[in-house]
Amino acid sequence: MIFTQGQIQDMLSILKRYELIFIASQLGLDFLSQADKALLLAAGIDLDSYKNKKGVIEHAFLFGILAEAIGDARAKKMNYAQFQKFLASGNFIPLTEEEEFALQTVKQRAYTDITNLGNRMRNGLSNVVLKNNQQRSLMAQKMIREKTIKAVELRVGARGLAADLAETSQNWEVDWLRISYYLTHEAYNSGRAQSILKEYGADAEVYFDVYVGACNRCKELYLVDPEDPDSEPIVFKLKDIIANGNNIGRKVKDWLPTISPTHPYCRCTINHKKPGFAWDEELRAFTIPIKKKSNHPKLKGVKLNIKVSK
Amino acid sequence: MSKKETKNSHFIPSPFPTVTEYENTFVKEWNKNTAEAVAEVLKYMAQATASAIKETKEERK
Repeated sequence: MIFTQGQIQDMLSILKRYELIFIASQLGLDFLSQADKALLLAAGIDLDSYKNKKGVIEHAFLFGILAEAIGDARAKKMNYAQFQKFLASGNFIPLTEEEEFALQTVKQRAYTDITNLGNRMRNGLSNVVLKNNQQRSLMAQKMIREKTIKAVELRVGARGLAADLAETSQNWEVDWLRISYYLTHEAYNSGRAQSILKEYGADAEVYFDVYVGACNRCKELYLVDPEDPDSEPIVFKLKDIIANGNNIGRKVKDWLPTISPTHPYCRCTINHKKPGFAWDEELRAFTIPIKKKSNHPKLKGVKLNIKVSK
Repeated sequence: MSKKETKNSHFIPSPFPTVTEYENTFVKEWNKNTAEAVAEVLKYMAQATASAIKETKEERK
């Protein structure tokens, strides 16, 4: 079976339509152009069903804010259904303008990655069909020459094409896994960072939780002793981490500590470091109160003996 | 080991159940959406092939 350019375009538009449906459901209608909306309306899609819908990226961002605000210990006790119920209750404090801007930024990143993958998928489909057309070119020439073709020859070509398409779509799944983990973790860490920014300002101190199994580069970037998995983390100023942007396009040796995942499949998580607390290796948190020492010469070595009475 | 499994093993599970669940949801939603799209493309191909076979048969008559 030789497919015409018109038929190839029809197949590509099917993929495009599904990509737009995903964008509408996960990022919102604001991310669709008028032409995109027209394409969906023409296909009988009810756009109103996507109004005011929060997708997973927004959930990840909001959960980041919540986890940082209520503390990781409490956040770990919550499951996704409970979190969604909490959001639906209306008790979540409305986002500030800065938080809204940060959310839009992560959504824009998601839009770019989703549409890039969509383009790669359409290219993949196009290549599969064109390859099939080339492979069936002898049959096409025979068809033109003799005006005859057996039905079985048409069927064989179509079967091979379907198998090629199935194989290609498996690669799309692998790509999507990498992209989806990057996007959701970026949204989550951005939510946490925004919560710290709102509560403590840009000069707040932060560190990164580096989990067991983290890569060597992350250990170098985020731990005082990269050889020790329980090492005290390096403390940064939030404003410096924000200024580092993301590592997309940077060589591994040039990677910087960032709110966005340091690399695909990175799980390192930003945390606020409370002032006046030292690192506790057991709890893996800054929880040991630092005793204040006076620099006044007259107070050096002086021990106070205070008795409290009624 | 398949390519997919190799990639998977690089990702450290989150200690937050909510995170794990929404990550799985996001992955599944896209895969479901793509599977439906590919199914529709395959259906289109099958219909186009069936039409071509029909036309060939009619031409022979």
